[in-house]
Order: sequence, then structure tokens, then C-alpha cells
Amino acid sequence: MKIYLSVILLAIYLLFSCSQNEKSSLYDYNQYKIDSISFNLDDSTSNEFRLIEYLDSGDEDYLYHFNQFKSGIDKFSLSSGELIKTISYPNEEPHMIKLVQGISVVNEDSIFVIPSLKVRGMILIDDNGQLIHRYNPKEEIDFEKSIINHISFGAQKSEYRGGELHLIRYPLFDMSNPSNINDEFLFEVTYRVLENDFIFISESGFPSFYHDQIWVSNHLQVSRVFNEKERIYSWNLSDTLDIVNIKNGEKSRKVVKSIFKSNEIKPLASIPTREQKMEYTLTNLKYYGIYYDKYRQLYYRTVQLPGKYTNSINPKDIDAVRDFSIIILDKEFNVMKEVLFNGGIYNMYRVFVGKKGVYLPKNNHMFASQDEDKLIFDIFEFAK
Amino acid sequence: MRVLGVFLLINLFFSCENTSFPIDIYSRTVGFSLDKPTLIINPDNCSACFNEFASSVRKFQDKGFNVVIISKERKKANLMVNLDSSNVYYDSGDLSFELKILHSLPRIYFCDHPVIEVVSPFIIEGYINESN
Repeated sequence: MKIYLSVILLAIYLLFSCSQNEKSSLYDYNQYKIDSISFNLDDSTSNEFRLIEYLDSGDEDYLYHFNQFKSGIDKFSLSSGELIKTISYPNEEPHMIKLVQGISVVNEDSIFVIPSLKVRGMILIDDNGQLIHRYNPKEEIDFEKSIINHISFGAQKSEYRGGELHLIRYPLFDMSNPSNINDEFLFEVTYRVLENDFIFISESGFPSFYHDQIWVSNHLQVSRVFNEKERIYSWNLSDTLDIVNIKNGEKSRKVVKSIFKSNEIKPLASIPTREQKMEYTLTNLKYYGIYYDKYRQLYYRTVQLPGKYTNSINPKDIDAVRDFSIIILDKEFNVMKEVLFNGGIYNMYRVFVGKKGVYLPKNNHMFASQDEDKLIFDIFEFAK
Repeated sequence: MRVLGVFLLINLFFSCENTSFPIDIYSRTVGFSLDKPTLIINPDNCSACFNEFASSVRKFQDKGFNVVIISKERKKANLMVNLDSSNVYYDSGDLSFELKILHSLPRIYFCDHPVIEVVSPFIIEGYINESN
């Protein structure tokens, strides 16, 4: 009996020690790290860096950061880490923007400052903060219809291409009501600058597998990115990417599934309580963003891995220590590899792609070695 | 004597020192008094809060009401509202979570325990205007 017990215990020990070693050997992201850059942050700059935009300006590349505490846009050099300047924008009536939701940097002399909940009132400024234009698309009479609840940051940033500003918006209706989950609501809106009007992109509705089911709203988001000829949608729960040719509207799908996804994520049987929502959000794998690397003709799909839920720990803290991965895809959307990262160090919501590679900031609020007067980005090159 | 008894009873009933509510335990621990409306905000829990609420939080504090900022990062909290102000309180711990004082959105607490869930900065500004 004692021998049997010892064998069983040994087997259990081996099983667990193997699976742990297996995972720790997969945290191999450091082999892709090629450089770091550090920004010194002054007394008026938080390390939050929520509204950021990358710009490759030829000889130099920059990171723009909307800094509400200066009512301006900080322009950092990505080669030296130096703050080049703070661009103030016209912020008095009639050009006042009460709440800035996003910025979109087209070039050094064309920066869109986008207000919250609408495009009306958006301004275009130059590198000195001089007003170039203020945009006033026609307002809908119905107040609710006039609201464009655009996100304009992170994996849902607004992007200007060929005279159009493309925005991802979220609905204002109750997303836990299954009858609202259909293909009527379109997540992507395009503001046509010259025509001064909006078009709604028909391919940007909820994918059919979501329809008429109960989900947690944190898993109903879409990330969209453009390459030269296509728009690519990545939904939180979908193992596929939806690709739409911009010219002819031709659609295709590519399976881009995480190797860490062990089970299918199911809809809920009833409207969840707050605590059930938290548990669902934190313990299910979620595809977060899709990013295009035009320098290497690669795509990156970021994946948040399941965390361990307990109602005695703040959910934001649990979320911040969740491991995450980046799936690297070639130009045909074939998976090349998936790189696993430890949670609690980087802020995966603030990833951006630049000339040198993928920038991951260390402004994770659970990162113990964090210095609030510095922001460090580690730069990864996954093509090697 | 009977009058005094009634007075004491009323006083006990309406006193802000009531110990049975989590907010009372929290206010004693952090050091603020619920004699004044108290806005509690955690920018770590709500990344949008940092951008959206900063200016209305400052207006609330300028009005003389209490502001409690919960954050693991002191600089971030200080940028939202000056932590040296006498009606601003900083909390870097987890007690507010344990006591369920906040979920993700900010809240305004009052002496007699009603709570306003602040879904938008306009609610703070609306409250300030109403109290003028």
C-alpha cells in the first residue's frame, strides 16, 4: 500500500514539475530583445502613456504622447529618448476640445486631435501647434445617433489613410443583452474628410458566432489594422482573422490560433453578475490586438492568457500579472511562431510597432522595479 | 434627562461615526471625514478615468469637498490632484477593494451613506453646480 502511495505521489510530482518546467522554458522572449529606450518623465508627465502615436519621419522616428497635464502633445525621439518638444494646441473657444480621446499623427506637420464621443470639433494642427483646420461634419438631429463612441488608442487606434479617418467605435447599448448581438451594429466608421461625411463599414459587425448569445462585453471587442491593400479584423474570441480587400471588398479568413488556447470559450447561460463577469474576463484567453509591421511584412497578434481569479484580489492587479503572448505571422498570415511573455512586467495594452521592431513599455502597474519618473520600452525583433 | 436620551439616540442614528458600514471603516483608516461629500477614485482600475476625470476631480477638490485617490503610483495620483491639499487623501493599499468601496468607476460618498456611481465626469460637475 505504501509503495502504491509513493508511486502515485511521485507521478503527481513529476506531472506538475514537468508542466511547470515546460512553461518556464517557453518564456524565451529575451532572445528577441534587441534594445531598450528610456524616457525621462518630468513632473507633469505620468508614465500612463495611454494616447500614443508612432511616426517614422524618415531619418528619425518619434513617439507622440497626448499629455493632458500639459494640455499638449509631447514629442519624444525614439533614438535618444529625449523630449523634443511639447506641442500645444488651440484650446480656447471656438476650438476648445473638452476631452481629447485620441490623436492621429499623419506626418510631423499634420496631427489630428480627436474629441471624445464625436468627430465634430476635431482639429488638425502642425508641428508648432498652429491650427490648420477644424472639422465640422453635419450633426444628426437625434443626439444618440450623433455620438461616435470611438476608441482611438491601443489596438483600436484611429488611422488616417488617403483622405479618410478610420475609427473603431463601441456601441452604447447593453452588450449583455443577446438580442443586441447581431450584425446591425458596425464597429468601424470612416470619416471622409473632403466629403465631410461618414460611411459605416459593412464588414465590421459582430461575427456570426457571437450572435444572439450572452457574452461578457470585455470579450466583444475588435482590433483592426491596415496593410497596403487590406483591412484586417481580429475579434477577442475568434481564432481567425477576417481580411477584407479594400478595393473590391473580397473577404477571406485565416486561422491564427494561440498554442496556449486549450479549450473553446463558451457563451454564458444567463446574464452574469459583476463577479461572474470578472471571473469570465480574467480566466479566459483573449486575443487583444492585431498590428502590422510594414518594415518586415509581418503581423503580430497579441494574446492575453487566462489568469487565476480570486475575489480577494483586485481584478486589475490580476489582469496586470497575466502572462501574454505575441503570435508572429508572415505576410500571408501564416503563423511563424508564438512568443510567451511573463505577466507583471510589460503593459501589453500599449504595444506599438516601429522601424526597429516591437516596442513593449514597462509601465505595468504591478512591475515592482518601476520608477515613475522613467518609462522604459524594450524593443523586440521577431523576424530573426 | 429624557430629552438628552432622545438627543443621544438621534445623534447616534445620524452620526457619521457609525461603524457598521464599510465606508466608515475605510474613512477612519484613510483619515477623512464623511462630514463632507467624498469623491473616491482609482485611476489604476480605470485607465480612462485618468484622462476623463482629472479636471472634474480638481474642481470637486477646489470646492472644498474631499477627494480620495487610490493608486499604487504616487506620482500619477499627484498629477490628478495635489496630494498636499488638506482635503485630498492618498491610499496606496487594497483596503478599498477588500471593503468593496469601489468597483472600477469613481464614486461619491455622503455622510448618510447614499452613493453616487460616477459614470461620467459630467456627474461630478453636475453635483458641483447643484451644490452652489
